[in-house]
Amino acid sequence: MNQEKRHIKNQDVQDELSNQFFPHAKIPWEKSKEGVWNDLEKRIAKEDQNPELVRRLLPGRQWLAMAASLVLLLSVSGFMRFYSVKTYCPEGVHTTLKLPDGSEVELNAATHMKYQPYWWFISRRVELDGEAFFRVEKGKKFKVVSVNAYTEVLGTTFNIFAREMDYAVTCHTGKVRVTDVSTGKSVELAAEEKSVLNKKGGFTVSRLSNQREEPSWTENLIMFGSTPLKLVFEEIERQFGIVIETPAEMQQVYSGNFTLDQPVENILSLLCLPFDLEYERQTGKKYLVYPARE
Amino acid sequence: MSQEEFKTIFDLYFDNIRSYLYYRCGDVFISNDLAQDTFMRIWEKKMDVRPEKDVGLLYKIAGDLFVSYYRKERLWKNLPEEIRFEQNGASPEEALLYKELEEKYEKALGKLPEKQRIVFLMSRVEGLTYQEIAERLSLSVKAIEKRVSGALCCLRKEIKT
Repeated sequence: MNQEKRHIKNQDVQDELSNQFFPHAKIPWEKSKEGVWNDLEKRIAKEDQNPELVRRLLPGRQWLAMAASLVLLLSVSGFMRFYSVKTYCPEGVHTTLKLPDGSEVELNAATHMKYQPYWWFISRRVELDGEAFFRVEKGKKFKVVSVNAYTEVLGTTFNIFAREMDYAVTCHTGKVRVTDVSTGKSVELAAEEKSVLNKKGGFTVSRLSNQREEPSWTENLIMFGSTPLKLVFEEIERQFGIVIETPAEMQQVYSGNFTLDQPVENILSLLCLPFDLEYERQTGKKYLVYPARE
Repeated sequence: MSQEEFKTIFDLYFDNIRSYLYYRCGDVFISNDLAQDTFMRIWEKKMDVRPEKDVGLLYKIAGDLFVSYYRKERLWKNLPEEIRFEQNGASPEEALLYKELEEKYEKALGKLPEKQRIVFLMSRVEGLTYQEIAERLSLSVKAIEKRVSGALCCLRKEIKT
């Protein structure tokens, strides 16, 4: 106890000593504060005289560089995004086209197609007006957009008929999804199935009667199964690049096949016969079809 | 930052920074140079140093300059053996009295761990509160208390002998 007390007292003495000592303790500086300030002032003045020695990144220039690189980036990606290739397959011809990823498109007569080659690896998107047969390489989603509906696939072969108000998709292998633009309704097609967009905005799905790997038109054969006669004449117009003037009232439907390697006159006479129609060649590529006179 | 503002900062903190460096190295020349470099750096970098709020930044720059200087000069081995002081404002009798004490303290301080020495001297010589020291060195008040009491403990042992 006693010893402890003495110890504490000893501590107090030491601390008191230090309390007395340190307030008077001064560091033996060689230079006064003012002297240092004078030195500093000289250094600052020197620096201001040679400002080129100091590399300054002006904030304005930095922004400019950032803005410039941003503009460059935007313009390059904008070019890639919006640069598109337009293809038109004229009447009377079929064209085959290779897309950047190796997918193939066969365009039927009188067909417009548009796609973005530099944006292809980000989104495979094709705009189509007409009829085409697609052989799609496996990969990301492949989208074919037309006015009325669009079709999405991963990798299959399928045929799209998109002319004016008509839209029909035939899936030959694999699976595709067809969606109506206006109603948002969609239908999934398995292989050998065909869907036709009907007037109410829905799809009518039917199975193909004959199993074919590719649509007939790609093999220069046109087939009609219970097709309205008006559409038959329109198809012939496109395939041969001619103009056929038909009577306004035509309610009949037609079933039959034609190969395209024969003269158009043969086909017209075959077509007209069962319907009591006659045709007549007018100037150039113009034909007139009219009801047979008794 | 204008030159006037810079001068204000300099007037406020130059002594503190220079002393801080002195507590670390015990060399008046090195601490003087490094303190000057600290302020030069603030000026060159056009740093916006607000009084009070950014004192910690000054201490940080000074400490970093000290560390890189010592690393470059490979001076780690000759850490200060003693921290020299001179008596100021004491009466002649007192000065005589303290002469012996001074030598003891100078040696004892040299033996203290750096962290304890810095905090202890900031508190005793410059009369800064624990709160102020904690803010300047970015430490907790608790840590300051611990270091000061550690330093006191070590000094007691040294002075007694």
